Amino acid sequence: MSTFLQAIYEGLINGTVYAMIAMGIALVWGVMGILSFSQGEFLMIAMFIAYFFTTATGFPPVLALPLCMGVLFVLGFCIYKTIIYKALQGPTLSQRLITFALSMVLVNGMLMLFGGTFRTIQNTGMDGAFSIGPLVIAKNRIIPLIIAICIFCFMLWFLNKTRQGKAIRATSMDKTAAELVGINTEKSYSLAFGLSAAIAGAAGCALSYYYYCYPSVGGNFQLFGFIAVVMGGFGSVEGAIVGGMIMGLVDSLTGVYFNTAFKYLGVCVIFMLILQFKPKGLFGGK
Amino acid sequence: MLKTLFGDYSKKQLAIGAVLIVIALILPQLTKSLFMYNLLILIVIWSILGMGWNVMGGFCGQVSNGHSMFYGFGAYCVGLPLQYFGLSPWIAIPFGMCFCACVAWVIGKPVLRLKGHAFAICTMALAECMRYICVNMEFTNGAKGVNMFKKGVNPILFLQFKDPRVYYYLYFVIMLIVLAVTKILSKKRFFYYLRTIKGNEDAAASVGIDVSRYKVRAYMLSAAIVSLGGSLYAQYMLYFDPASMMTLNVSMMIVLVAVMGGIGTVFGPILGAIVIECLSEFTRASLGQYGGLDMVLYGCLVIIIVLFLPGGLLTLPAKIREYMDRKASKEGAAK
Repeated sequence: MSTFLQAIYEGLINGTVYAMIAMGIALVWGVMGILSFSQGEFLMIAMFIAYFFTTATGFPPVLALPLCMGVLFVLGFCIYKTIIYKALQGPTLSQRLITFALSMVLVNGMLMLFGGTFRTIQNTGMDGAFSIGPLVIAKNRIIPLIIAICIFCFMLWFLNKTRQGKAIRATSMDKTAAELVGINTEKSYSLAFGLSAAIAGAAGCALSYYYYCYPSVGGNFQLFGFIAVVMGGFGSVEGAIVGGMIMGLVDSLTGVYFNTAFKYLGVCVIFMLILQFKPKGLFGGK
Repeated sequence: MLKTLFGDYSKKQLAIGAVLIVIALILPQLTKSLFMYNLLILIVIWSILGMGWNVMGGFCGQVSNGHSMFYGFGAYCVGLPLQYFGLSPWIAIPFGMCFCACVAWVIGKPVLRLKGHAFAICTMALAECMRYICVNMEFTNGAKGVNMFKKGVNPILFLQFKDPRVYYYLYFVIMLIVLAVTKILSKKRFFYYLRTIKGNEDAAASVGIDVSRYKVRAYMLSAAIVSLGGSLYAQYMLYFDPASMMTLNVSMMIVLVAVMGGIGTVFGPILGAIVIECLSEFTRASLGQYGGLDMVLYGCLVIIIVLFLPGGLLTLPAKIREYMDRKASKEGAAK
């Protein structure tokens, strides 16, 4: 029983990272209809920033969070303005291929600059573990959890309560109608792309607490993020969070009870089952 | 049949085609470098892969991002029978094609209900899942991969030649056959159905096309051709491992080959394969020592080409002509 609880807890912690990636993907998907392959690479860049920040200053990685999010937001914004803006005029498939080529450029650029060694942050300032009942809670997983919860709350607040967030949602529902009522859709687009990169940045900062960073770290997280988005409902941010949590749970439960090698199989089976019964995803009622 | 093959083209175009084929046949005789042989063989293999994907992604409009699964299965279907039973690839390659078509048939029904990005993600997840299974099973030799090199076997029976040029000629003929099959099929009712489905699924269903059945058929055909490409690659390398064959990158490269040449066209994938392979091999050869720089450059070039030629390289002449016309008319207006 305690193993089960522990597995669920770890799954939820991992799930928060998948959920953050998925949120970024869902945002870009919902607003622009692009399947962005560069999301995992934004995560990787943020992990590198957190790593270099911590090794250079000695502060814990959480202080790098504003830096990570800021840099990634600017990066995402610039990428939108230079590449995605032009790509949006082309067919969907080209957009997907362009983000894929972009991810290739980013991964190999980092490989060229910093090499392929695996780096871990040694002094996160949070070592050891404590236990609540049967659960053993590693301290270095508490901060990522808090970061994730803050990001979720912020995003839900931003998209539902603020004027600009509502504008982004309106753009994602119907671009022409949004333009008719005077929304600057171009601004919504660039903001959405920047924000999705910034969320990936936050995820990278959180992940750097307990995961090693290397240039191609993003790939796996990204694939799980994609699956989480489809599971949750296409382009729905709330759905992406739930989807990400499910992915984390499946990931850790298959790892504990079967074999880590078959976690993809487990994920695929769950994925196919959900799509058979709800082809539009769990939250995709529209 | 000859009419469906050549009927569309003017005498001039046929002559150009014949000249291109002759050039392709002479090219390996002019050089002695193994690099060039390798490049030519890879171009041929990737054109087959691109043409296979094109049946599904180009003509039918169902963009799959998981064709590396069939690519890997094709390789396994020649590698494993050879390892366990000593089976000749002449039997194993058709067997692999049938096997992949069956796999496509089984997974096609549930997967093809999805549309757009969801279908792409689902195929991607399946390919990734299969990769993990292949890496972790004893039966498939795990991550060690399959070594197909056997000493002293009959070269023709087992397709193991010392001279890479033999591979090239053989694969070139196979590619021409695949090309002819695509060309003939593109004039048949089957492909017209697929184009209709691509245009509008609901409209296709309303005029009485069994959409899901034809989608599954397209998926099967596409899987079989990609599997053929995988088999040929394995047979040429005589070694393969799942960790490098069944990745997302390979799936995306297959898509890229078709898109770069011209999606939904018969000759597009060949052009795409020539450009993609030349780009990747030459950047790797010249910049490979700077760890990663070659891929950065390659990625940038891909972005530029896809960004400015969304219709593929086959539309380049039309674009240039349009540009010239505009320039001429501007000059005319200035005068």
